Amino acid sequence: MGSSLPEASWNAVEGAYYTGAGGTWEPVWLFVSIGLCVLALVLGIAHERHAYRRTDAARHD
Amino acid sequence: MEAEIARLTEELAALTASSGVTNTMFAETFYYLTIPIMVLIHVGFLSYEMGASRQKNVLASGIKNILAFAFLVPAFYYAGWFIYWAFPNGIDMSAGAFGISGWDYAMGAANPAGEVMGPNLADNATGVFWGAFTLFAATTASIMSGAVIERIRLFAFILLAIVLGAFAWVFAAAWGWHADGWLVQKFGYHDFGAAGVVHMVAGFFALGVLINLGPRIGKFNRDGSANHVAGHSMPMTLVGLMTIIAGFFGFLLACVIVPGETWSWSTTEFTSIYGTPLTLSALAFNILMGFAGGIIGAWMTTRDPFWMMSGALAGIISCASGLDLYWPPLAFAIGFIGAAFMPVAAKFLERLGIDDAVGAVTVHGVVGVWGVLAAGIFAAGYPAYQGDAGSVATITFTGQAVGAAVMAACGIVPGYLFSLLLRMFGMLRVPESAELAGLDIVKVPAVAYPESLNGAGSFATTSPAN
Repeated sequence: MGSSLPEASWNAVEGAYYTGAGGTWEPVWLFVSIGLCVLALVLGIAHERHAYRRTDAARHD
Repeated sequence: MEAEIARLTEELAALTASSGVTNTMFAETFYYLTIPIMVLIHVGFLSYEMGASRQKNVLASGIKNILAFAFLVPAFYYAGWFIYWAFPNGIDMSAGAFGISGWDYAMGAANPAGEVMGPNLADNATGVFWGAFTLFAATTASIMSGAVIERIRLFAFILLAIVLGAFAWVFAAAWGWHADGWLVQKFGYHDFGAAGVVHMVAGFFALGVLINLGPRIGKFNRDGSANHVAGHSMPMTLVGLMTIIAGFFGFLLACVIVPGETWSWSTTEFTSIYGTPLTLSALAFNILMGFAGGIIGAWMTTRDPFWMMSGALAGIISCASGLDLYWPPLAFAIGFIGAAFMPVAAKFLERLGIDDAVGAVTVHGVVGVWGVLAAGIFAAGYPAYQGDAGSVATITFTGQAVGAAVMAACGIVPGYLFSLLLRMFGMLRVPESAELAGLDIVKVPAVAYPESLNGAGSFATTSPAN
C-alpha cells in the first residue's frame, strides 16, 4: 500500500489520499477488519465458556 | 471604470470562495463536535448501568457497555451507513422522490469499500455524518444494554447489539428519518429527535430480548410478586443519567442540517433532516422545557431520584418528535405527562414478569410511543418535508400512529427472533452458577472495589447489595 500520491508532493492532491487510494486494497482491508472482529468474538465465546465451566466445577467441588 | 469593475469582480469572487470555505469548515466542525458530545451519552450509560448493577456484576456490566460501543463502530461502517442510504424507498432499493436514496446513491455515498468512506480532500461531509450516525447507532445498543444486565452472555449481547445498531434501527431511520423515507413521503411521519427511530426501536428491541432472556434470579417470587433488586450505587446511576442528558444536546444537534452546502436543504437557515426549517433556539427552548417537565412529572408520581432522572430523559423523549415545532410550555406539559405515566408502565411490565433492570423498555419504548403520537396530536397540519402546498404530506395522528407501529415492529420482531435463536442454542443466558457467583469474579480479570469486604462475590443466593 503506502502512499497513494502520484508524486512526492501534496500540491496536486484533490481527492482521496489515504494509503492505497485508487488501488485494489480497500476491500482486502475491509475484510481483514471484519475478520478481526469475528476472531475477537470467537475467542470471546471461548473465554466465556471456559469461565462458566470453571465456575460450575468450583461450585461442585 | 472597467478596471474598477474587474477589480471588484475579482474581490467578490475571492470573498465568495472564502465564505464558501468558511461555511464548509463550519459545517464539518459542527458535526465533528456533535460526536464527542454524544460520547457523553455513553459515558452516562456506562455509569448508569454500573451503578444499577450489584457490586458482584459492576465490571461485567461496564465491559458489556464498552463493547457495544466498540463493535457498533465497525458494524455501522460495514453495513449501517449503506442501509440508511439504500433503503428509504422500500426494500427494493429504488431511488426516492428527492433522489437521495437507493442502490446507486448508496454505492456513491456509503460504499464501505469505496473512496467516499476514507480520507478525501474533496469530501468534508461523509466522515462527520457517518460519525454522528454511528453514535446514534451506539446509543440504541446502550439503551438495550441496561435492560439485560447481570444475566446475559457477553457474546449474545454483542450480537444483539449489532443486529439492533447496524440493522434494525437503520431500516427504521431510512423509512422514517430520511426525506425519501416512505413513511415520511406517504404518511407525513415526523420524528425530528428520533423518539421513534431510535428510542422506540431500541426500547421494543429490548422488550423482545427480555421475553426470551427472563428475569434475574431473585427478581420474582413464586407467587409472581416482584422484589426490588437494588443496584450498588444510586449516586453513580444518577450522575450517569444526568450525563446522558448532557449528551442528548449533541444528539439533537446532530439531527440538524447546516445550511449553505451542496448537500444542504437551505442556503440561509438550519433545517431538520426532512428539510423543514428550524432554529437552534427552538431546540434550546423545547429540550430544556421537556427536560424540566419530565423531572417534575416523575417527582410528582414517584418521589424517587432514580425515576426523577429517568423522567428527565423521558421528558426529552416525549417531546423529541416535535422538538422543532412545539410551543415551549406545551413541550413542558408533554414531557410532564410522559414522565408521570412512566412508572405506571414500568409497574405494568413488572406484573407481566418482565425484568427490565433499568426501565429501558418504559423510558425509551413506551415513552417513545407517546413522543411519536404527541406530534400527531399537537403538530398536526405542518408539512412533513419540503415542497409546494398541496404536494406535500402533512403531519397527522394517523401517520404518526402508523409510524409508531412500524417502529415498534422494527424493534420487537428482530429482538425477539434473534434472542430466541440464541436461547435455542443455549447462548443467551449465563449459567445459574455464574449468575449467583457474580459475573465479575467469574470472567473479569479485575476487581471493581479491591478494598471492599464484599467485592469478591460469593455463591450466596442473594447478593450483599440485595
